[in-house]
Amino acid sequence: MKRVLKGKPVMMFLCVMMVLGILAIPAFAKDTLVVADQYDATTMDPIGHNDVPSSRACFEVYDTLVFLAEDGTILPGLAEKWEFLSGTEYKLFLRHGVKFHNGEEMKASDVKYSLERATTDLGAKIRTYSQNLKEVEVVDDYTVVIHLKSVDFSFFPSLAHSWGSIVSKKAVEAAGENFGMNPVGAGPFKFVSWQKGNKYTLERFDDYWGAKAKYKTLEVRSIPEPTNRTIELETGAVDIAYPIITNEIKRIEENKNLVLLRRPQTSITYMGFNCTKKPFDDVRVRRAIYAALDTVGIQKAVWRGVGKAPSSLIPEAIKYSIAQELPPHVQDVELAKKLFAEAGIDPKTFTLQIWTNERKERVDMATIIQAQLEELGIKAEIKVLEWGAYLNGLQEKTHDLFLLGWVSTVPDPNFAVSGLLESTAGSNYTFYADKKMDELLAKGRSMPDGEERAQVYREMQLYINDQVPMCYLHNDESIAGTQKNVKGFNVKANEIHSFREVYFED
Amino acid sequence: MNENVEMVATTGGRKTRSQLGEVLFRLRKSPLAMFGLAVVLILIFCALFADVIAPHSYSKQNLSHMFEAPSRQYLLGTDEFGRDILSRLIYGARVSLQVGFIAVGIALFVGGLLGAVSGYYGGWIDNGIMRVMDVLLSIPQTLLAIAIVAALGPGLMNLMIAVGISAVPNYARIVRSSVLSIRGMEFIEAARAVGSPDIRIILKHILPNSMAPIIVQSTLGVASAILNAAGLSFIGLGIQPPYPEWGAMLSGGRQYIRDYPHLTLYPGLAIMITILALNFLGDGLRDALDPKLKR
Repeated sequence: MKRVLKGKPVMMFLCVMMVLGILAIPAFAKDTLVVADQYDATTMDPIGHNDVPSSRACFEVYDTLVFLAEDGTILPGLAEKWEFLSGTEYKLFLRHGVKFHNGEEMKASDVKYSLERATTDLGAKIRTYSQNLKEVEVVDDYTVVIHLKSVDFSFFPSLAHSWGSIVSKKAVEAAGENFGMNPVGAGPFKFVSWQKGNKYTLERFDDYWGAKAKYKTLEVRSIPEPTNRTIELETGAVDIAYPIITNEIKRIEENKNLVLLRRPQTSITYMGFNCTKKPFDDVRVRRAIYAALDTVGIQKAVWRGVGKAPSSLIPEAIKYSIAQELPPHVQDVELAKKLFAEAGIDPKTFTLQIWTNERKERVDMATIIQAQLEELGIKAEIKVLEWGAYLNGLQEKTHDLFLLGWVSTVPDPNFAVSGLLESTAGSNYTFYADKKMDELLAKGRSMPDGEERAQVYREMQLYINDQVPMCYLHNDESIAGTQKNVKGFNVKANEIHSFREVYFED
Repeated sequence: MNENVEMVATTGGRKTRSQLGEVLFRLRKSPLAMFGLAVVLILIFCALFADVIAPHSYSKQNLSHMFEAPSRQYLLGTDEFGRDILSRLIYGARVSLQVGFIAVGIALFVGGLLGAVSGYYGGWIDNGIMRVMDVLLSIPQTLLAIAIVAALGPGLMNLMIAVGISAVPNYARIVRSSVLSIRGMEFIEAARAVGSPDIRIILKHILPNSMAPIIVQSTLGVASAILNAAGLSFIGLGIQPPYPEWGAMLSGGRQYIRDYPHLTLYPGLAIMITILALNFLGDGLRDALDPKLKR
């Protein structure tokens, strides 16, 4: 009896706490935006990655010197205005009174530090953007001059890519190697927490120099399973979900509580050849394999109405692409046989491997490619590898054929090609190294926009189609689903969707 | 036939029937075990004669017949490449049984050897081997298999090795304990006294007399090996496409589960029924082999 009485106050206390706990849940307007992405960011250090989920995270935490409008126009960011002193010198006037999340004011020294940091070994993954930067000269606290090694018209717009994010020098030096997990920028959201592989949480930065976000908390969850993303959207657990796969599109369109957004992407999925390995170093073999494939049919079967089969490496959504002028690829088995015969290869004894990562659509495309090659007698073995193992494996140059994608985050034709085919590019897994190709790329970069530059990229695209370092498989679409009350959001062609202007409608 | 058995049983069967006959006799009295045995035999038949009984090729794609529901032409429907699901299940049985039996074979051979040596010699050899087994046991079996496959690379052979190796400690333990219980018996001492070499004693006297628990564990082990292999294939570490494996089929169809459930339903059922059947059979064998349950 005594014991029971003794327990009573404790129980009462617990009951009171429970009631209070229920009352404590606020009934305010929605103040948290929950987003479902396919993968988690790898790091929030703007120069420590070159992948889309990380770029997206950086875009909310950091600001860049300039912003790119949808049509490619360059808009002022942390730099209010700029002058082109010469082809290799850009003078930028920085915005006054911009605060980092740690309360420090952004100065020219931070800009110098941020950009020059990208040219060190830390920035190996984004070398394709930073390779032409020589130095950043500090004129005064609010003026810098960027010096390039050579004339490069693709450089300035690339400052809007996440690699050009301006970081707080003090914060980076304080955090050291952990900066990627403790980012400090001058963007509209500040970092709160991150459970790797699960979700990260950002919070509105109230001292932001520009238009402040209309909601307080941004939560980005990584949900790799496509069906789960859609279910989370349908049940209202998330406000925005992407990417949406083909067979879920109709489900979202028909749901009156949801909105489907889609637009063509500046990306390409391709099957590359290891051009350093026999017999794929022989252009006739590469042509023969391409001729043996019905890439248009493969695209249709796997994507069922999303995107299209490309006829040029530069996606249609990027300027100077000649994809629309070129006829679609046509399967020609007889031509393939003839080319194999010329190269001295008997397809019946030819064996090769096709590598891909686990992404379902890629494995599916590889499976159909395998079946089509088998019609010629070629024995293709598919190797499905985990993403990290896949990229490491490709670097070892032992692969034959591989399926991979490329997004031109900066919608300039240079970046649609250079990252894949320039002999020095870290993401060139075909290891295609060709003097003429490198020259064309350098020439294209050195020219201002206009008819002459268009001509260079036309020649380049035709040359690539002739050399066949890769077979083009798919131009994707950016597809997202949102709740009906989510406004101010649209998908971007380069997949760097932004949540800065999102608001909820009652 | 029935009468015959009855008669043998009533005329004090044990002496007239062989050990195997005795076990089979007791096994036959368990309907669940017989069901299990029947399913396993059907699967073995499917695996052996897949080329003959499968109505279609397992890899032939038909892109104009994708996602078809079960019909007379395709009894269980078609998958995302227009391939016949029934044919793929039949060929899948081949992979599953192969993985199940060979993996258990590997586990049994390595584990049995280690267990027998450990149990027979005792002392520091026993201690050494069993502590290593303890370390392996402390890692979850599936996780260990994932680690091994990740290190060796995906593929049928590596899958079997990984699943087999990860099951080794279980067999080592069982064999060791059986050996320990038999090692001290008089007939072993007698064998030793007449100068039989150790290897002969282990192989001729100890192992045959400790078969019962090993057989039971192996039967159940085949089930868990198949399940493990399906799990590994599900996460992309097993058989590489286009060869059909039930776990991989399940994984491949999961994106379409809400629109075309037949892509995942049938491989799932195949895995479930197989595992269930093997478990029934294993349970039945355990009862049949247990001398204490003798009438």
